Amino acid sequence: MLDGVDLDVAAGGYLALVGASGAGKSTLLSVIGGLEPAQSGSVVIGGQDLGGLSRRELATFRRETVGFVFQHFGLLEALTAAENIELACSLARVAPAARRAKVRDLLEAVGLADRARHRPVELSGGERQRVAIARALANGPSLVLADEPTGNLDDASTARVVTLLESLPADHGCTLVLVTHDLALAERASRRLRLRGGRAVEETVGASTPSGVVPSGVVPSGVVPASSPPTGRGMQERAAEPGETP
Amino acid sequence: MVADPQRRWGGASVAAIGRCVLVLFVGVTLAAGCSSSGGSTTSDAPPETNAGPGVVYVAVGAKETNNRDRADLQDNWPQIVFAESIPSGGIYVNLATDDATVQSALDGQLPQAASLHPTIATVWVESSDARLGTPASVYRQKLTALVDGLHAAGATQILLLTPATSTTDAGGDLADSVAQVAKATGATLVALGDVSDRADDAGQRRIADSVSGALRGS
Amino acid sequence: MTWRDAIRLAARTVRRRPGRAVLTVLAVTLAAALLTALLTISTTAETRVLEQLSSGGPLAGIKVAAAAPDPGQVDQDNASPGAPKSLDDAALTQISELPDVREVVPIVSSKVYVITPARDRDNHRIGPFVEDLVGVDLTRVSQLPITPVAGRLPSPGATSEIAVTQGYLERLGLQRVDAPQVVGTALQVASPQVVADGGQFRVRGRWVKATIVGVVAQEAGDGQFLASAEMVAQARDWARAGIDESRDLKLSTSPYTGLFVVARGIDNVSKVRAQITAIGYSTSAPENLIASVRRYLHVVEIVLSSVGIIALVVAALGISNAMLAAVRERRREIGVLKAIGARDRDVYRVFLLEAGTLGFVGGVLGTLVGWAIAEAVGRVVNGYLAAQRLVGVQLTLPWTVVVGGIVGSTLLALLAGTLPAVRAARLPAREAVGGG
Repeated sequence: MLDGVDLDVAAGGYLALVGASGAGKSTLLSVIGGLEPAQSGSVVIGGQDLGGLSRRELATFRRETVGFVFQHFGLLEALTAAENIELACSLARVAPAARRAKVRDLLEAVGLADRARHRPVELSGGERQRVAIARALANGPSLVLADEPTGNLDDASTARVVTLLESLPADHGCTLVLVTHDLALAERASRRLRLRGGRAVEETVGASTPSGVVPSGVVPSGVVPASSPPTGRGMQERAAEPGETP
Repeated sequence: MVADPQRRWGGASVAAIGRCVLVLFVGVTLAAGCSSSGGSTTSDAPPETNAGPGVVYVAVGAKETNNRDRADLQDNWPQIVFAESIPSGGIYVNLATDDATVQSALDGQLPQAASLHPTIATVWVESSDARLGTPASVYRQKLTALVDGLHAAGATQILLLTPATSTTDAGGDLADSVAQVAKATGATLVALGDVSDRADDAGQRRIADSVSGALRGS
Repeated sequence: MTWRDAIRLAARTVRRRPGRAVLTVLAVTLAAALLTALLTISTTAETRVLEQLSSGGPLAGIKVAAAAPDPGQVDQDNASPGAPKSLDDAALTQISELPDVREVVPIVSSKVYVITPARDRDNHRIGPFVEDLVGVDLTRVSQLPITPVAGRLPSPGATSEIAVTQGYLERLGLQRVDAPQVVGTALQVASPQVVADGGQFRVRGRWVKATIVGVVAQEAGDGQFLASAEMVAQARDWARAGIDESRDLKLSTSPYTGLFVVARGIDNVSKVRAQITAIGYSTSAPENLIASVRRYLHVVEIVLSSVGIIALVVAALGISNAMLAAVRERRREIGVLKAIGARDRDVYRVFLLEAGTLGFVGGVLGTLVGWAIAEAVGRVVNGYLAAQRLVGVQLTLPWTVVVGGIVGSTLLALLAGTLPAVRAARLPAREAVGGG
């Protein structure tokens, strides 16, 4: 349960929500992403007030504006990696030929082009999360919400996934909100909001973030439109260092 | 890479179900095709008989052939010959009349026989002529005409029956005449021997056996 | 989400949980198999019963006698004929031209003398006897109530082949199972002709050595011998060539002994009978009996169908239960679908299609299994019937049962899956997220 959380996030920003279990981090994420309505107050994303949307409109909002990355990966076990991504495109009524091209590009971007036909059970945790990230980007969202994305990963996979996520604001122009209980990970965000008992108790701004608050609704220039496929720059994973396990 | 036993099993199960469906479908289709039906033939049906012209047997003669004095039709010698020596599909008509002479046979029985297109004919017309004293020459002439007429009607086997002895004095000549006509016309002479037991079943059987034997031999 | 994508997702999801899918499909299969087998057997039984009532001939068959109708017998199934009346080509044409008449098969018969080599039960020779030789056009025998139980029917046009009936077997002291014993034996059959012999009249026979080629279960007309119309025509011609057309033998002078008329459908039988009666001939047909039996069999069919449908409903409840459990187990998956943008309608569609898939597969398998069961039952029954020298049954699987079984199973499954699909659609999207 949240209590009096007042938050503005600039477009293209990187916000980390931290706090102990039960602090309300995932709840806040759900409210931001339109998964659950706010009982009071308002949620405005890109100028759109979620409070006035119907269930159908909320589904459209989630489909077109938000990309989710879950701790449990959230992949459908019955579908392959490519089909999981294609499902998101299917929901957006993208034509089959365009879908296939987009899926191919996304899998390449996350370094899993050769794992397209594998089902989640055949993928490692890190690979599953990268597929989830690719799915989240399928419809060109302006907001990516990641809920403990590294919670079930080992260190090596964590590093790769974090690198991938952190490149999203720069490479895709989308706003990244990441929930984590890992303070070291949170330190990497340009902004951090600590929650305790449903309240925002501390907000810190990292050195990588411009000072001041960017008014909500202002879209910085250079943001890649949602309908364009992701560019390759920044999404390519850095080569492994000698001795480092992938 | 982690293999998923459940998926492997699941994949195999779906394929197995598909195979079972195919086998079942084919099996049912074959079974339906082989299922018994009403139809017009059972497994013990005899083969179709040929449709070619059958044997037509006519019996020309007098009381010895007519056998009206006997009670049991099926024990009369012409009937026995028909039953035992004529193949299936064959036809038999007994044209004999009790008091037939060779002349009345020529006038009455021959036209009837001709209308039947006989292939086999037995001729035993002697007793009335013997009783009436028909001259042997006349008898031979008439009998020859009768045999010729049967030939012309299509008969290929003509049996002339005669007892060894006749009941009247003139019978001996008539028996000889029968033999002469047989020789002259190519008909088969069947000497029956003593036919005094003709009224009995045993006598009829003996006559039938003689005729059947002649048919087989000729 | 397009229907195609929804179908693919539904099919993949069903495959993902094979154990549950197989069990659910099995329930539908068994129910559909039960329904199919019961209806197939009941339909076949109905056909068989009605065939027996119509003596193996068309259900819409009517026997017409060469006799005037008895006014008191007109509506009876087995009407007794009135006074003899000639049944000739003019009458045949008139009856053939009735609008509701599909086919008319003439029947001719002739009295014959018969000599058989067979012996009775006590090994006594059976003396010559008189019997009716019934002739029909054997190219149209399928329209007649004639079925061989041993051997075959005489060939069309054959003049020395006959089939015998149960009555002939009884004359020899044989049972129906002994029918094959008489097949292949030869009879001497003669048609009579009155001739003059020494101032008196006597009867001369034209004997034919005929082969018994088969034994039939029914009588086409009154007579223990069945032959081709050509064979009987030869017999009748021989008799008519006698003195005064052999009238002293009191042979029928009617060109046809009777007719077998096939109406256009069983519902026209009554009307056609009335029309033939109006023309002036006596008729008989088991229409009242068939109508009563059809009503009872319809009730049986309803009862059997109900049993099968109840089984299907039970199976559908199983689908509903399985789907509700699946919704509970897949809450997170449903939440994820909604999180990535699926509408309530998309989720509803997927779950409904899963249920429909189970029903369709179960319906197809059940129809096949049901047919196989009915076939097996049919083979057992036919084996017994054949041993008793009775006519076998021909299984009929109406296309309505096939289509109804598959479509019905699918629709019931869709109906059963509606509530779980609605529940899944109404689940909140937050189910995708764990507690935070």
